[in-house]
Amino acid sequence: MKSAGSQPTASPIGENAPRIDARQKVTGAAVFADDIQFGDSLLHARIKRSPHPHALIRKIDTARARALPGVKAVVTGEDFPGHIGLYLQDRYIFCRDRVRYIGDPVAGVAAISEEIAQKALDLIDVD
Amino acid sequence: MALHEIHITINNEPEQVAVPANMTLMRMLREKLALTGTKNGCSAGECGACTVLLNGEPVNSCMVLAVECDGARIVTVEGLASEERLAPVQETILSEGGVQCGFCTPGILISAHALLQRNPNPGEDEIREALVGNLCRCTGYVRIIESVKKAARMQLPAG
Repeated sequence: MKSAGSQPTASPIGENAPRIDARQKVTGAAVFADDIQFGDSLLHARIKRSPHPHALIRKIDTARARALPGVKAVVTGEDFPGHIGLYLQDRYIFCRDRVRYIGDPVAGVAAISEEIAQKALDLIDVD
Repeated sequence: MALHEIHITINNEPEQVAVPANMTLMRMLREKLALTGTKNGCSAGECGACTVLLNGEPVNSCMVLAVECDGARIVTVEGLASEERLAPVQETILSEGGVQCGFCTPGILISAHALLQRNPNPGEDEIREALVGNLCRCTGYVRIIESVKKAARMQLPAG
């Protein structure tokens, strides 16, 4: 394209323009979110969810999950007393006294691998 | 898990990698060799985003174990361009608007490149056949197929 000056600037309308990121994308150089390299510092999170449509939570025992080697954190509703929500702030991050649908989050685990995080979920006892 | 030493040629470079027996070729490329041009789409051999050339044949690298590749030649999207020059199909996917989000592009490029190597002058049906295993969720198939046609025309007479 001509630079501004005595000549009129060419209009981009009707011109073919390659996408500005297409060259990176055709060479594999483009970095998508999943392509970011974290090395060994990356932790994997898993959420334990309710298998019941509605139930009271009497007790959550995370001791066995915390004791599993490679588990870095286990969190439950106890850790987050506040409410959240987009319009109505009426939900807990993790369920506290009861679950209200199948899939309601009950506890979360962060561990050094997906497999260990999953194993830790199975070691969380919910009564 | 016990590690296995394997020797492979990746994009014409010899590499020695220690991999667990359950690691797929796709994970080895992305996690051990940081060749993240090869994408992890479905991990189930459905989407084709992880397609690479294994001894010249396109395969879903999520369906191949790394240990099976001892002694093999692998080509990924990073290896299609020669020095400063893009492969014809890279050039035309770029110029014809065959890239949208770009996630399926590496797999499409490998499948199309393999097609053009075994059949330099494919018809539209043959191009579609070669790309059946590569899903594009942007649904930009028409421009991708036009790109492959143009790449075939480009490399035919002059070479």
